[in-house]
Amino acid sequence: MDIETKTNHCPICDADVEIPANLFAGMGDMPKVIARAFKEPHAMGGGEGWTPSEIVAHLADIEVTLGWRVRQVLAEDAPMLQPFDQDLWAEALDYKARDLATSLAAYGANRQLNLEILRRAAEAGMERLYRHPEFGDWPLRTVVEHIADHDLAHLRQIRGE
Amino acid sequence: MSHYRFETRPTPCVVCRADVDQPLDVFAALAAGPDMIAAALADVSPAARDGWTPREVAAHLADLEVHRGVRVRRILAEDRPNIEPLDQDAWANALHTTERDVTYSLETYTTNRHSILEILRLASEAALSRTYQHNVFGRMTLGALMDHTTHHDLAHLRQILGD
Repeated sequence: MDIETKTNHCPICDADVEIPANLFAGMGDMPKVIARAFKEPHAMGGGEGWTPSEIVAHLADIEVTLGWRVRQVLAEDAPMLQPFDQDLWAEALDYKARDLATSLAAYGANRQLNLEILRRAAEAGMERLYRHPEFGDWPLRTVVEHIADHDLAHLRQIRGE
Repeated sequence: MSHYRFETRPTPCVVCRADVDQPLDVFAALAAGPDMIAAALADVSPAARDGWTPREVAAHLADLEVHRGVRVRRILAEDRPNIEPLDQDAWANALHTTERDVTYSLETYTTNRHSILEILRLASEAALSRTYQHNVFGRMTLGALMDHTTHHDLAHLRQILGD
């Protein structure tokens, strides 16, 4: 793994997971690491499970959702976040047909701006609370760290690890 | 108007309840929006303006496109989802739009627009008839939301250019 990680407890997954040791730096690097991973010798090429274009469509859609959630939590008072069904999204939003380059560009640009907004919001922003109908009340930090773990899980998937 | 790359006509918008400059070819206008905004931003200083500066407008367009991206996905994937309005002034204040990087804003606005267009094209024309429930405006169609998006782009294009 070319991103140094540390173990972190995720209250959303209720599990110990890996996240980048330097959270924002690792998350900032991730779109390029994912793009490169598809060219590595053991990268999946459309065998069982999601194809590369499906994985990146998923990452792009999750990142736009992260952007929405970050903005809500920073601008509103303990907003109730709206869950969504990722399998329904994959089917309704035609992940099988989505263009890899379009998804990679959106994933990278949204990640860049999400991190800019989070850096400007600083530690106080990361501690702002949200409500979730399944998981309860948590600080924004937990959503961001959950996405950092999610990135790494899909990177391992691409690499067949 | 000479800045536009497509034909428009005055039309009442069901979302903003006002007469607006509505592009006749919505998909062409959606595709052209980011390029027109980028060209306008290249011709003006990002700061120093009464009201929102060009930098703030770019940040606003990026943030709205993120919000719109989620709305479009939910409308296509869920059965008439409830869509809550956002307080754009609260977003502008909390999200530091006076300081944000114009390049990041433009890239986010542009790439999210490309994704939305791709998703809409893959979904077929019938998708524009799918509906959502808005807290203020009631039952609306995805098509109306996309019509609204095109003249929202144009309003901010005029704002950047100081028209």
